[in-house]
Amino acid sequence: MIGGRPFFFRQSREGGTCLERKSLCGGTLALLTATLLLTFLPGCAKKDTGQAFRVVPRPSPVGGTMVLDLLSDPKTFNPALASETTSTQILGYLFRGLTRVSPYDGQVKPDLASRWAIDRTGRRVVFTLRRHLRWSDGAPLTSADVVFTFNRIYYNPSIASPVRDVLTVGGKPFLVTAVDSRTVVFETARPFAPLLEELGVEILPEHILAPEVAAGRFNTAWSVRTPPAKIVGDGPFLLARYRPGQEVVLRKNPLYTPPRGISGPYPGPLPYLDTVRLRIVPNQNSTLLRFLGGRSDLVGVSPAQVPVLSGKTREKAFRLLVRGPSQTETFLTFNENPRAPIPAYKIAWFRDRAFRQAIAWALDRKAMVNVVYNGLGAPIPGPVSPANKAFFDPGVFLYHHDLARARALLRSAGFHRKGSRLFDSSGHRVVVVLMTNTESPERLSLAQMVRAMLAPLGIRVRVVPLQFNMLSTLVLASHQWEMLLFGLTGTLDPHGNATVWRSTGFLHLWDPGEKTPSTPWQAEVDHLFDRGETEMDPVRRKAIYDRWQEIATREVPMVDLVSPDAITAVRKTLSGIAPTPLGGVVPHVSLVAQTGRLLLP
Amino acid sequence: MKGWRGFFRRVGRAGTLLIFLGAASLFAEFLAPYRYDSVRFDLPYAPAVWPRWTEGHLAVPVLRLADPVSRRYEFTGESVPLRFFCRGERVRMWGILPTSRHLFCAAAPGRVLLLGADLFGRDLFSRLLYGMRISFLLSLVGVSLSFSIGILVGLVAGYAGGWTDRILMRSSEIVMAVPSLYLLMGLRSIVPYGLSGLSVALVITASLALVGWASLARVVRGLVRSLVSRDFVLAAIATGASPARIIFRHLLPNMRYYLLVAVTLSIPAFIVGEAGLSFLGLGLSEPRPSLGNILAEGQSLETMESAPWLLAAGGMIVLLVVLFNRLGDVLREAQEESGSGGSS
Repeated sequence: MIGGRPFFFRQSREGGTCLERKSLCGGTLALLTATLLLTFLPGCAKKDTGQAFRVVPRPSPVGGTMVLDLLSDPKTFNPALASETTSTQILGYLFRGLTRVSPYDGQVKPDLASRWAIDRTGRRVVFTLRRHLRWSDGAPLTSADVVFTFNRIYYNPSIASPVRDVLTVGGKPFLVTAVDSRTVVFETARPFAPLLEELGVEILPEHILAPEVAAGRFNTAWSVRTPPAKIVGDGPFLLARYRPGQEVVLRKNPLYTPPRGISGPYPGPLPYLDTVRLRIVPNQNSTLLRFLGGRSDLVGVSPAQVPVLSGKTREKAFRLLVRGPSQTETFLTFNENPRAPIPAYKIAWFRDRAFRQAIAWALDRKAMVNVVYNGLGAPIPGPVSPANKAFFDPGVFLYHHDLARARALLRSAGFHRKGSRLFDSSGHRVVVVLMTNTESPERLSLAQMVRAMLAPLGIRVRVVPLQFNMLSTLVLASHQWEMLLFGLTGTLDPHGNATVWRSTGFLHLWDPGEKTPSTPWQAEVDHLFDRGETEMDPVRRKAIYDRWQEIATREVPMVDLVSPDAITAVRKTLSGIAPTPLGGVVPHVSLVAQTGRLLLP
Repeated sequence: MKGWRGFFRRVGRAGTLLIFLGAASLFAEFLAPYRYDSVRFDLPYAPAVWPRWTEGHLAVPVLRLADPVSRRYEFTGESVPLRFFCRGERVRMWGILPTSRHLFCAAAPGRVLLLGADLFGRDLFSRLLYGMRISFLLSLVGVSLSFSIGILVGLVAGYAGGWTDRILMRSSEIVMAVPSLYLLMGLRSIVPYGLSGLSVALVITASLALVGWASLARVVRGLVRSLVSRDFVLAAIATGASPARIIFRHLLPNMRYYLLVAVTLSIPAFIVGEAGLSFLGLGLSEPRPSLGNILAEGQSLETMESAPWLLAAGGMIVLLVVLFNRLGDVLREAQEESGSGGSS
């Protein structure tokens, strides 16, 4: 690669010594380039095939350890205060609620409750708890804990719980009372359709936390500095150890009673695993390398990483599970807020439906999927993902790439072209700042693609990537933004979209703080969400949310873009793994078992 | 003619190559077949496509994305002729002169990709040419700024001596003690977000220069201190020459070789500085290319696997740095030769 003779033997032209600097120059360059290429070309690593992992069966499928990677440290171990995904992911192993949602079809299934009955008014639900429920310290789990959790924690105004909003109907909390030690009654001010789903929130132990609440210390209770033994839960696992920046170790909860309907193929109590080890690895490249090195068992994969993994499934003993479009929704939205500190003529463009539709028509979502997600994703038509079969309305039409239509719409709205530039009817050139957050490389790429795709319309887009915190301040507090490319994780029940779509919602991005709905369609959307909340009949409820999806795709306050496929790589030693359309690859964590051992070469 | 040959001999092969690269980047609009932001969303991470000799003329085979998941490409069997001095994409030479002439181009379904494409199907060769121009431009701006300040401060301190000298030298030490990366990150965060990429880069370079002058000032001051006690300067002082005359006629000419070498050696610092900032996302922003942000795209595991050619930007940085260092050496050798041949 470097050439015939080694460079240091070459005679320099000036007749100097061998290591004369001039003759070194060319050689050093070649050497540097060669080293660069050798270090970075992954093709070289591919050739050795003696690296294959072997899987040998373990004597018993019960017991063993599963290793996963976390992207960051948890912020709290208090389920009532946790709001970011690392904490909630860990707490999902430690705590449970009255109900749970089936990851297969989105149906509500029993968890702590064994059954429930809804009365004819739809406002009163009676839950019966399972028999012999116990906390991990041995204390019995009774209806008193449920009443305590709701009345003293979630509805306590001095506790900053992020779930309080979803546990209210029309601004009123549920009335929670205990009848006997196994029976709890929930009464709502008016019928509340998503009630059963929302009651999946974690139940907390009264005998441990009541003193903390009484002393006003709850907001700091169960922090990441609390000794693990003091955190008493009811989930399949217990917190065994937390070392900041290194790992969170979970141990099997011997007092765990699995919910009704959960039973596994092997004998022995659930969960099957003895230990879950969550390593903190704050870098996605390292996470992937650790998985390929056999040091973790399961890893979420972004579509861009699939080419790295797809050729190695046999050698590294894992399966690549592609579950189809995920619930993640990436969208473009416009600042329609007349009180925002941006030029009024720009707000006028954004409030013009034709302008928004023109942008929706100008975007080539197929190209976005191919470029950003290597073809592993799908264009999404509206606010409900097609993966959510219970509520997705197949009747909503999808904007496809049609520049002629986009141009016609802009012309009809009074825009005109001069050369390659677009001007509005009052002569302002259409220049827009598109913001997105720097943390997501996919969104950065999508923003660049939006920029390139709007150029043929004469719209000049300047992409401004900002850090998440700064972006949310600009968007939510000072309203100083024009166009935004962002993502939201969808919820199964469309009622979860109320925070975004209701004119009074906390995340009503395009026109926050409007006193009354400023457009007839916004008024109708508000009305639909009010009705959907109280409608108990599933068919009529679906019709309500279908109507909302039709309005959403016609008015496009949010131009929905694409959704990546949810992909997980799972080591072949794990069993109890099944891809589900709504909830990942682990239908229930207590059923996961380590049936084999991995022999590294 | 002889003068030119002499010039090229004096700057050595490294200098000749640098002049060639500089000229190439200066005429990027003409030499690059595509604009830096010319996208082809159907060719993400397409490999290099070279023209081939088919049926008596050069033709570019047409690529097709066969499998979007693994980004595997195949040739469709068609090809488009490669044309020279042709009309292609419309560009503005140096941002002013509209033209559509390119050295070579290939018609639409085909695409000449001498070095492959990036995620958006943009031609890496074209982007490297434009990116190199930014590196040259910013390092020239940075070097001229830091040198004007550094030489001025060094001359004043060295010539005046006394308290002026002490104050200036202590303040240059303070500047040298500032950790420049954090300073730059701080400066970047106070630059308003609405500024265009190029002005952000200029602000950053200016701030790099404002940190970089101190070490030069110290050396210049040392040189001046040693020169002012030499006979020819004392003689000039004795004849009543003004300080300006002494500085411009006696001091500066005697330092010119050192300064020339110092310039060539500090340019790489600016090239690497710009690349580092863009790599961290603090410098030039997309879609404008710079060697740093092209390299940043190639840093993830998946791009190294599917588009290792993006690392060519790193190779380019190494090449430029080595060439400038080499040029510095050549100039110093020339100075030593002339120094030994000339008077004391």
